[in-house]
Amino acid sequence: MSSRWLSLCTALLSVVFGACGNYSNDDLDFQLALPEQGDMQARMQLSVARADSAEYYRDTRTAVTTFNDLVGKLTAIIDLVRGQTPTGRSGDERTWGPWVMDEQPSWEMRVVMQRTALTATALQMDYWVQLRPVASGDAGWVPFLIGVYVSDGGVQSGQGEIHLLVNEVRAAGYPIDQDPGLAGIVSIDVAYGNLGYPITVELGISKQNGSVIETGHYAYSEQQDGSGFMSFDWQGLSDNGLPIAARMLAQWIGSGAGRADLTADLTPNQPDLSTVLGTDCWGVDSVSTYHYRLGKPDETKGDPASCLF
Amino acid sequence: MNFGRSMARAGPVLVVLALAAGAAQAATQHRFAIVVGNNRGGVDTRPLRYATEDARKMYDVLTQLGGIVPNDATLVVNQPASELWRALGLIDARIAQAKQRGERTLLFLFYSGHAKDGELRMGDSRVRLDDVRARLSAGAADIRIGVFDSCRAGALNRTKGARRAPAFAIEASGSEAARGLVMLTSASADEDAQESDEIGGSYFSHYLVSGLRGDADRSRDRRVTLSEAYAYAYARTVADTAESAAGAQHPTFSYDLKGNADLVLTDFASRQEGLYVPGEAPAGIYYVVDGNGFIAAEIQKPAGSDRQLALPAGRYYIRRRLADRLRIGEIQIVSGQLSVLDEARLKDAPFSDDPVKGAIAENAGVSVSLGLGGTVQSFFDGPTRDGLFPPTGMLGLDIELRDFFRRGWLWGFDFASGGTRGEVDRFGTMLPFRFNELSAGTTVAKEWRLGQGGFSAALGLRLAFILMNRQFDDETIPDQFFATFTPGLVTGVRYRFAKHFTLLGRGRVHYLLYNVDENRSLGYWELATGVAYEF
Repeated sequence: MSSRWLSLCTALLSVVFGACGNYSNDDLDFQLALPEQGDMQARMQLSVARADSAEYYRDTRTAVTTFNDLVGKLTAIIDLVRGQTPTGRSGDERTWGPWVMDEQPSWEMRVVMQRTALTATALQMDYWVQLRPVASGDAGWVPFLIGVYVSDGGVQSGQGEIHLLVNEVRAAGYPIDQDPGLAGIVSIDVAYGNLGYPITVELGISKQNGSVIETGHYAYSEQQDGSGFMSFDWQGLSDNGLPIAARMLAQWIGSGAGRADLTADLTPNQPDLSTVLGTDCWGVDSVSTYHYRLGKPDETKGDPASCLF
Repeated sequence: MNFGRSMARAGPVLVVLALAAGAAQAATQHRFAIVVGNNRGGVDTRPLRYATEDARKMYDVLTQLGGIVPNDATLVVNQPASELWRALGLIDARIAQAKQRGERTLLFLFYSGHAKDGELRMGDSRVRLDDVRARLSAGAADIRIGVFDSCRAGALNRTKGARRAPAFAIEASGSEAARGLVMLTSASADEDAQESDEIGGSYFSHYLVSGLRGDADRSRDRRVTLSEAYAYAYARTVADTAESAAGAQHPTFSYDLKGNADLVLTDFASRQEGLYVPGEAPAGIYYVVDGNGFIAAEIQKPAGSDRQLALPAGRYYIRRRLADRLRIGEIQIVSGQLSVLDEARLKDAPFSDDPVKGAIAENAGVSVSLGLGGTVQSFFDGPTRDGLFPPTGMLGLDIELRDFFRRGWLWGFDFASGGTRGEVDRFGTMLPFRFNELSAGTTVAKEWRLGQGGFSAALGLRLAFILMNRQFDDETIPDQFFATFTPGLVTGVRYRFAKHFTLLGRGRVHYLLYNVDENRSLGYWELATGVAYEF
């Protein structure tokens, strides 16, 4: 029997026996390859917040919140399809959508995923979130988010990247700047790994500020015992309009006690973050045990020997 | 229990039986038969239970012993009147061809079903009795025999001076071959033609078939003539219906024959296989029950006289009904051999072990049973079983209708629900889940009685709808479901351990088309057991 007749027969059987459903092992691979917010979220042992908490401790908490908000924005886009049955299945490809977007009814969105088996235990998943004006045809699709995930030793452990191409959809006419969280954003890029400890996440963000593109880069690492670090690098203009680069590096142990240093390059066009602008060390209660600020010797408090790092 | 088939009466006549020697015409004629059975008679009638079964029995005896090859016999079961006319037209054409070849011809038309207000009722269609008679009268065959076992079909004979009598004789006139028409009806024009659950058929047809199989062979020449068969059927029908609520039923006859008209209907002189009841066996009535639980024939054995029935090879049960018990046993009839019944080897048994289907049911008809039980299900394919649809246990409810479509068949409905835990391995990640299944099926199966111990077996087809669902422990994974219809084969065993209770065991093999990831043909088996209450 030819494959054509076989296909016809199976199609007829499907109709006759009325088979339907979303019961699929293959779909699991696709759904599990999509990162959840928890896969990339910073989990610092910084639960305590007091009025007398160390200043850099509070700044680190703010950076973590910002970081997690950005991660949440990305995964929210993906979560649209994570909990839904694919609209189309074709071999190693799954498609969700297209759907008309609630917030922009003249646009529609779809998600396409492709699976490539690298080895018996390794999978590569590539996925695209695409937007297009309604009824613009296949040529109208514009990539909004590109992701890749390579798993090894299980579909839920591996390394992945996500790139949010805000500028591309903006250029295609999508009113991205109506979203307050993405207004002015040029791109967001995330790389993460959960193959084992340390769990690492790096997030880069570019934002248009007038004629200058400011960039920020977060790096987060988490050990099994709860210790970890987060750094935030920022390049932009100072209040007086001069280019400036700065880094906040926070480190902590599982109990929550830690240290943060703010360093900066005060010499334009010579990237050197060797100048320490300040240091805070804190205990498990988040209260400063050592406090230092450049040029303010009167404010120095505590014993630098109390710092864990 | 008796059911009515009403007929009109005709006056009694006694005609001397005269048999011409050496008139074994069964071997020299080209014989044709049309056998019609229809349980339904349309509006204002109750469905009959055994009309189609009577037709099948008549068809069997005519093709086995009546000198009619199957190609020359047409069985019309539960068909409209147009099929009767169509069969008559086809047979008439073939008769005409046979006559052109110089052959002598005989047409045997048997009808079992409803008749009312001068019409045969075939479902919702009708045939006027006068038209049937006219068609037979004008038929091309040299001899035309019409036998009508139906309500008030005696009207067929009324206009021609029908007779109801225990026997009739057809006088031979010289050496000329017989030509003409014979009409037999099971009851008079105003009588009910009755059915019996005890014998699993109408009285008249049952005795006519039994007679044709040999019990009517009073001349002991191993041939049964039309006269012998009628005399036997008349006597037994009148005797058995005399005490019935509907009153005695009197078969009638009429004939218009010329020539040497002795009509041998069945000839088993050259056919050895059958049942022989020796003269020393106790007198009484012996029922021969086939493997399906239907009475194939019966023998009325006088004291000191032997009897013989021609039966096809196979396994039969023998039943004698005494006042307080049954005497039952099995006998194997081997092709080409006459099996001798040794009555002493029959065993005493209570009436509940009656091998005749329905005989123990006082309110014979469709029986309903309700069962509860458990089912185990598993797919044949290992990867499917391990990671997709895990082996599952279910609890279920069964409803079965017996003898709904026809005797010996069951129509069942089953509902089951269950679940288990499973896990699926996706590239090294084990994903545990809770698996649930709901199934609803319908089964049509043929059922056979096994031996005398209350066992019966069934084989049939089942169509089920199943809904399978799994919920992963990882709540971020959406629930999955699959629903489809699956056809399958069913076999089962049933054991009656009390008057109303039976133990059930079933095995099923099903096909399932899985079409989510890809089109895959899968199979699964089920084993089920339970207890049923029969109402």
